[in-house]
Amino acid sequence: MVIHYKCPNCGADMAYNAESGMLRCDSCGRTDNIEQMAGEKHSTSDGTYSYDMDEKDEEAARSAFDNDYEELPDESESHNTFEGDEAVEYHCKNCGAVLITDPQTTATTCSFCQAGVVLGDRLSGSLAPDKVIPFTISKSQAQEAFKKWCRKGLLTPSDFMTADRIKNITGLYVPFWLYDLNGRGEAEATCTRVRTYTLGDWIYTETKYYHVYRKVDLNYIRIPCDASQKMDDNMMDKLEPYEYSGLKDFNMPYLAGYIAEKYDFDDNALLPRIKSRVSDYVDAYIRSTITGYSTVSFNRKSIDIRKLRADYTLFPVWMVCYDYRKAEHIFAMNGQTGKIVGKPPLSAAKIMLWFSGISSGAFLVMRLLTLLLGGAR
Amino acid sequence: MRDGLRRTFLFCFLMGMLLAIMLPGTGSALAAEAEGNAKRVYDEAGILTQEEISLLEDMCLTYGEDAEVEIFILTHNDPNTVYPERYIEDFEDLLPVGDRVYFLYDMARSEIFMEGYGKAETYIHSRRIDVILDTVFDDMKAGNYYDAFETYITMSADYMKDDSELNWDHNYNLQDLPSGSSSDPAKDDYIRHQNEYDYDRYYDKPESVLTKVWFQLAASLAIGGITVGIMAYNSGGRMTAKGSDYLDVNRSGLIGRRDVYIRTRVTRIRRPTNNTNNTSGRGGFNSGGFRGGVSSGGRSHSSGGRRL
Repeated sequence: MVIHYKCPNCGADMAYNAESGMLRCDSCGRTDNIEQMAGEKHSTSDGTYSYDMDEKDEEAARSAFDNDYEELPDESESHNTFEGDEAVEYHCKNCGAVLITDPQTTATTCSFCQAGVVLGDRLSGSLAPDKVIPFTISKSQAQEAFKKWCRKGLLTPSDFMTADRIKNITGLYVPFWLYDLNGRGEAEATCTRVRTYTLGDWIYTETKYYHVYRKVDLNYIRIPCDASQKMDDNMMDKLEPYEYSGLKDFNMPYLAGYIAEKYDFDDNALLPRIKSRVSDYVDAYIRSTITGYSTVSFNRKSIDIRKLRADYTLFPVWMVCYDYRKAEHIFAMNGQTGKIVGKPPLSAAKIMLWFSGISSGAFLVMRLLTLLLGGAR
Repeated sequence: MRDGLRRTFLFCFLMGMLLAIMLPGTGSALAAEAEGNAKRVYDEAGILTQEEISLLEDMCLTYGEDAEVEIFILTHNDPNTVYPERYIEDFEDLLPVGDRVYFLYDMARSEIFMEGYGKAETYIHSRRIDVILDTVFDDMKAGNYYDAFETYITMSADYMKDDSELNWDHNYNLQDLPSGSSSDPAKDDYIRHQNEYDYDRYYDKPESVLTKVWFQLAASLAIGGITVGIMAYNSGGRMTAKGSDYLDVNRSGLIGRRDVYIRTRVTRIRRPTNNTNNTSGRGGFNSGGFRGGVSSGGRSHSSGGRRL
C-alpha cells in the first residue's frame, strides 16, 4: 500500500521539510503541521479520526484526501504478513511507475517522478515505529556541513578537502531500538587507604585495609541500538548522542521525500549487544562510587541487565557518498545534530609530516632535558 | 556473714590460681619478644644449621654486650636485591639509632661486606674492617661459614675495646693517608684493597637508559607514531556518548554500601637527612677515594668488602 502526499492546494508532491519541521509543498509553499494532521493516529482505538482541519483541509478532505489516506491500516497483526512476501510490487501513486524497493525499504522516492512515497504496510503492525526523530538538517545544510568537516581533517589529502566530489547525499531514516534498561550491580572489593607521616626520625607508612561493598540499581533510558543490517554498527554508535527533545510520535508524513528502512533485527536479537554496552556503564558507575581509597581491587562483581522496554524508532542520518581516486568513501551525518563519522582517506605525505614533526619535537625536548639535568649534576 | 567471708576467700583463691597460671605465660611471652628483638643472625641464605645459628646468636649477644655493640650477621641469596652496601644500610634504617656492626654474605653476588655504625663506625673503621675481612676470607671461601662468623664476632668485639689507631676514620681519603715513607704498609694495604674490591662498581652505573640517544630517538618515534595513530584512528569520528547521557538520575543510585575496616599495617623507614655531603648521587658517598658512606636514612658508616 503506497502513501503519497499530494498538496491539497495545487496537487504537487509534498515532502517533509527539515527546516520548518512540516510537510511542505514546494510548488505553492503550503505547509502542514504533521503532528496536527496525524496526531490522532493513536486514537485509532475508537476507530475514528478527528483531524484538526481548517476549511481548506476540509475541502481537500472531500476531494483529494481520499486518495492520500486511503485505507489507513489498522494496527492489527494481520498486516504483518508481507514479510515473506517480498516480491510485492508497488506502484507510484503519482505516475504509476513500478517502485524499485529493497525488502527493507519503507519510504523512498519514485525513480521516475521523484515523488516521495511511503510504503504504509511496511510500517504497520509490529513494524510500526513508535517514535521518530525528524530531520532538522536539510540536504543543503548537510552538504555545507560536510564540506566544512572535510576542511578540518588534519590527515586528509588536500584535494579531498575541497569536498567537490560528493557523489550523492541521501537522507535516510535508520531503524533503531531505544532501550530502557535496568542494570543492577553488586561488587565487593578490598581497598586500602595509605597515609604517611613523620614521627621523630621515622617515616611511617600506614596502610588501612577495608572491605568495601556496593550495590547499585540503575535505570538507563533510551539507549539507541542500530537495527539495520546494512549500517555499520560502530559508525551508527558514533553518531550518538541524539537530542531526545526532538523525539516525536511516529507519523508517516515525516518520511515523505526521504528513504526509510525497516528493522532487520528485533529488540530481543539486539539485546546481547546492548547488554554488554550497559554492563560497562554499570561497571563504571560502581567504580565511581568507590572513592577515597588509594587502591581498589575487586574480589567479586556481578552485573545483571534487564530490558524494561524497547521502542522502535527511526533516526535521521545523512549518508554521503564520496568518490575519491576511484574509491568510494561513505560518511554518515547525524541528521539532527550534524555530527559526522566515517573514514576519510588519509594522505601518506601528511601522515609523514605530522609523524616527523612530532617525533623530532619530542626528541628535541628530551635532549634538552638531558642537557639541563646533566648540567645541574 | 560467714557466707560472705567464705565467698571472699574463694574469690581470692581463684584469683590467685588464675594469676599463678597466667604469670608464667606472660613471662615467656615477654621473653619471646625480647628474644625477637635480640635476633642477631639473619641467615636468609640458609647456610647455617639451626644449632650453629643459636650458638652464633649467643656469641653475638655475649660478646656484643661486653663490647657495647650490637653484632649482626646477615646472609642472603637473592640476585634481585640491592647491592651489598645498600642492603646493610637499608637493614640499619629499619632500626633505631644505635652502635652496630654488620657482616653480610651476599651469596648471589659472592661478596662479603661489613659496615660499622655509631661507635662502631669509629672503632671498627674501614681499615680494621679490611683486617677482619682478610682474616675470614679463606674460611668464607672454603665454606667454613661458622668459623668465619666466629672470627668476625671475636675480632669485632676486640676492636671495640681497642682505643689505638682510631685516626683511621672511615672518611679518610687517599691524600689524607698517614704520610711518611711511600712504603707505608697501611697505605699499600689500603690501595691494594681499594683495587681488589671495586667500591664504585655498584654506584658508577652506566648512565641511565633514559639519557641515551638511541633510547630517546626510539621514544620520540614511538610518541610520534602513537600520536599520529590516534589522530588517524579518530579521523573517522569518536564515540562521545557516555553512560551518564542515558542514566535516569532520578530512578538510579546506590542502594547498598558498606565500608568495613579490616586491619592496619604500619611500616617505617628512617627519615632521610639532608646531608650536604651527599651529592654523589648514591646512597652514601664513596667517590674520590672515600670509603664508607651514608644510608638513605642519614646514618653514616664505615665499610669494606671483598669478592669471594
